[in-house]
Amino acid sequence: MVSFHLHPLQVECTLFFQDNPYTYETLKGLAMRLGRNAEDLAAVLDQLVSTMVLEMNGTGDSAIYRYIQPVTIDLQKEELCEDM
Amino acid sequence: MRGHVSFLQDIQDAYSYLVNLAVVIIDEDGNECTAVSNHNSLSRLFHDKWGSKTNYIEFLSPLKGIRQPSVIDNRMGLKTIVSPLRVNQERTYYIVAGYFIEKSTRSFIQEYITKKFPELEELLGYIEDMPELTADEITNKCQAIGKLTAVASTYLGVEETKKVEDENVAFVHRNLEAIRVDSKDAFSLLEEMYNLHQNLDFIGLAVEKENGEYNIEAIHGQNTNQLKGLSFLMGEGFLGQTLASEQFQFWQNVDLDPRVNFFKRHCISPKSLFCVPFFKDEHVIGILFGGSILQEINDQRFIEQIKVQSSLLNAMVTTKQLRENLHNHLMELSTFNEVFRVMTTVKDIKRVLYILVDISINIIRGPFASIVFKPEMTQSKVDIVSRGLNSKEINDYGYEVALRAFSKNKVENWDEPLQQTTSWGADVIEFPLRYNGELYGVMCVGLSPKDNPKKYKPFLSSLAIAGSISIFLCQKDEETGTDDYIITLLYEALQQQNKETYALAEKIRTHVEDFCYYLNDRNYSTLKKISGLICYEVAFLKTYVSDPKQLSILEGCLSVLEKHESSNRESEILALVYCYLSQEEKLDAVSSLPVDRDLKNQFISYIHQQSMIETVISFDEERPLATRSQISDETDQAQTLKKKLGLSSREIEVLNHVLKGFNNREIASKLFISEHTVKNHVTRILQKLGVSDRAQAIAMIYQLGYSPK
Repeated sequence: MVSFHLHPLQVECTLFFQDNPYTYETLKGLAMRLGRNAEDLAAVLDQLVSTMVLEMNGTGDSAIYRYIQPVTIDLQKEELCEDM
Repeated sequence: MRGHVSFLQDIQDAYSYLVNLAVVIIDEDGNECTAVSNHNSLSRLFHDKWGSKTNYIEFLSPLKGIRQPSVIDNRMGLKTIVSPLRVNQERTYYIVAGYFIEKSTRSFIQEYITKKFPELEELLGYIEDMPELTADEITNKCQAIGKLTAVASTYLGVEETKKVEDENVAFVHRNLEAIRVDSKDAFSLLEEMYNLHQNLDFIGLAVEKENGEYNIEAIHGQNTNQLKGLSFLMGEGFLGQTLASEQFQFWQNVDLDPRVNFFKRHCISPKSLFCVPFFKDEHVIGILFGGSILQEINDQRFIEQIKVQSSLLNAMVTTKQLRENLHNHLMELSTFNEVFRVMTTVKDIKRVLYILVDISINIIRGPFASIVFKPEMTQSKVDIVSRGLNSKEINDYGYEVALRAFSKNKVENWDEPLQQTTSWGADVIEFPLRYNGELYGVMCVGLSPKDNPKKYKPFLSSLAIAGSISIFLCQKDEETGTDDYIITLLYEALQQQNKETYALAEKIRTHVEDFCYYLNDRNYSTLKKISGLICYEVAFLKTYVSDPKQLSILEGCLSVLEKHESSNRESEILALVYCYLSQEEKLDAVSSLPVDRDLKNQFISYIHQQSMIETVISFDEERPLATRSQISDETDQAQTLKKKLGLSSREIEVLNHVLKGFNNREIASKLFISEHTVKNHVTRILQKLGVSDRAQAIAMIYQLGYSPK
C-alpha cells in the first residue's frame, strides 16, 4: 500500500489564502493569524510557492506572501458549439 | 565455563581419585577453570612455585597440536598427562593430570633435581615416595583422563549450545517486543546482532537508493568503517549476486574468490560471508551482510540464527513502513475531511474549483492542474480554471478535454481516471467530476516526469467525487424557481433585443460576482442572480418578478444612484458596479455615491486588483486565442500612486525595486545613485505611506492594487 505526504498545515494555509485572496502577509504575520509555529509554516509556504499557489515578494523576514488566483478562462469555440 | 564449574569440579575430583593424580582444567589463556583435585605435597609444591598464568601459557604453547591425552614431561622430567578439551569446535581447554614417573627413572630424576634445583631439597623426599608406573599403567591413566575429557566436552558443549540458544531466544523475544512498541530501528538491531555473535567480525546493511544502486548505510566491525557509504549494483560481487538471486547466501573460503574484491579493495579480507536480502512487498530494498575475517564460520547453528534474525530485521523494516503508511493514510483522511468540509460549506462553485485545483497541485506537486467545468448543461460553454499552464496550453488542452467530456464523440460513461498525454508531451491524469450520473467537468492533474501516479490516484479520485458533490450542492442551492425561470428569460430577451445593453448586463453580473467573492463576508446569491436586471425599468420588472427581496435590491440601487442613502448593502454593491461600468469604468464616478465608506474603498481596491488578476479569453473571434484584458497600464498605476500618496517619480522608481525585494545597496547600483540617497528615498516613502518598515510598505502598496513593473 503506498502513500504520500500532504501536510495538513499546507491545506490549512491554502484554504486560508483562498478564503482571504487579497491577503498580503509576512511569515510572522501569517503565523500569528493562523496561530501556528513560524518554523513549521515556513516550510509549508516554501512548498506553496514552489507549486505556484503563492507568490513571494522580497526576502528574509520582510518577504510577503500572497495568493495567486488560478487563471479563469471561458472557452466557447465554434467547433465546440457544433460538437456539443 | 564459570556457570558449569560445580558439576565439572565433581567429575574432575572423581576422576582424579580414580587415576590417583592431581588434576586441573586450564583455558587457552592460562587461567585455572577448576580447583586442583587430589592435591598432594608434590603437586602443591609445584603449584606454589610454577602455578602462575605465565607458566601455564609457556607450558601449553608447544602443545596446541595435540588431539588426545598425551604424556608430557615437566621441567624436571616428572610426567603429566595433558588432554585437550574442545567445546563445539570453537574453544579449547586443557586437562592437566600429574605427577608420576616411569619405571627405573627415579634415581636419574633425583640426580637431576639435586644438580639443577638444590634449593628444593624436600622434593627429593616426595620423589622417593612416588610410584614408578609401567607402560600399561600409564596407558590406563591416559584412557581414564580421555574419558574425563569426553564427559567434560559433552557437558560443556551441551551447556554452550543451550546458552547460545537462550541468547538467541532472548534476542528474538526482546526485538519482537521492540517491534511491537516501535522502540528500535534497523540500525540498532544490526549493532545488537554484531555484539551477539562473537564469531562475526563484521556486519553491515545496504539500502536501495533512488538511482537503483545499493548503498552501505551502516557497518559494524573493527577497521570496516571505510565500507560505509560505498555503493554497488545488482550482480556486482557477492552482495550484488544476492540482490539478483533474492535468496539467502552463505559462502566459505572466499578469500581467494574474485567476487570478494569489493571488500579487498577496502582492505577487508573475509574468510566466510553471508548475505540476506530483505524485501518490501516483492521488491528487494536492502541487503544484510556479514562475515568472519580471522577464521572460517563452520557452525550451522550460526547460519540458522542469522536467518531468523534477518527475518526479524525484515519484519521490523516492514512494520515501520506499515506504521508510517498508516500514519500518512490517517493524515490523508483527516486532510480530506477538512477539504470536504470546506468544499461542501462554500456556496460558490468558483471556490470549489479553486480548491480542487490548489489541493490537487499541492498533492502531486506536478507542473499544472486544471478544471474543465461545464456550468450549464444546456449551453456549449465551458469554464477552465487552471494553474501552471499558459493561455495557449489552457486553450488547446481545455478544448481537447471538453471534446472528450461533452462533445458528440465524448467518452461514454467516463467514471474512472484516465491517463493522457497533452499535445506538448506532458503526462496528465484526468478525473471525471461526476455525481448522480451527471458529468460536471474534468479535473486534470499534470504529472512530473517519472512520477508514479498510483499513490495519488485514490486520494485525487475521492477529491474529484467530493468536488462533484459540492458542485451539485451549489447548483441545487441556485436551483431555479418560477422567478429564476423568468429572470433567465429576461436575460435571453435582452440578448435578442438589445445586444449593447445585454453586454452591459453581463459585465455587471461578472463584476458583482467577483466583487462579492472579493468581499467574502456573506452569501450574496440573490444579488448575483438579479444584478444584470438593473438594465430594465423596475416598474416593468414588477409585472414579472414576484420576489420582494429581489425587487428591493433593485429599487435600493436606483435610490443610491439618485444620491439617496440605502440601508441595503446589496443595493449599494449593485449601485457601485453599475455606476462604475455605465460611466466608462472611471473610479471617480463612484466617489459621489452615498454608500458606506469602507465598502466604497473596498470597491476601489477590488477594481485595482481585478485589473491585475483576471484574464478572460473569448473564442468568438477567428483566432481562438484572444484576451479581453483589463490589465491596467503600469503608467496609470504609477500615476494613481503619485496622486494618492504624493510620491515623486524617483520615489516610485525606488519603490518598484523595494517591492522586488532589493536591498538599498542593490537599488543604488541599479539606479546609479548612492546608497545614502536610496536610504533617504526609502525614509520619505515610509513617511508618506505612514508605515514604519519595508514589509508594511510592501503590503500597503499591494493592497492598493499596485504591482512592480
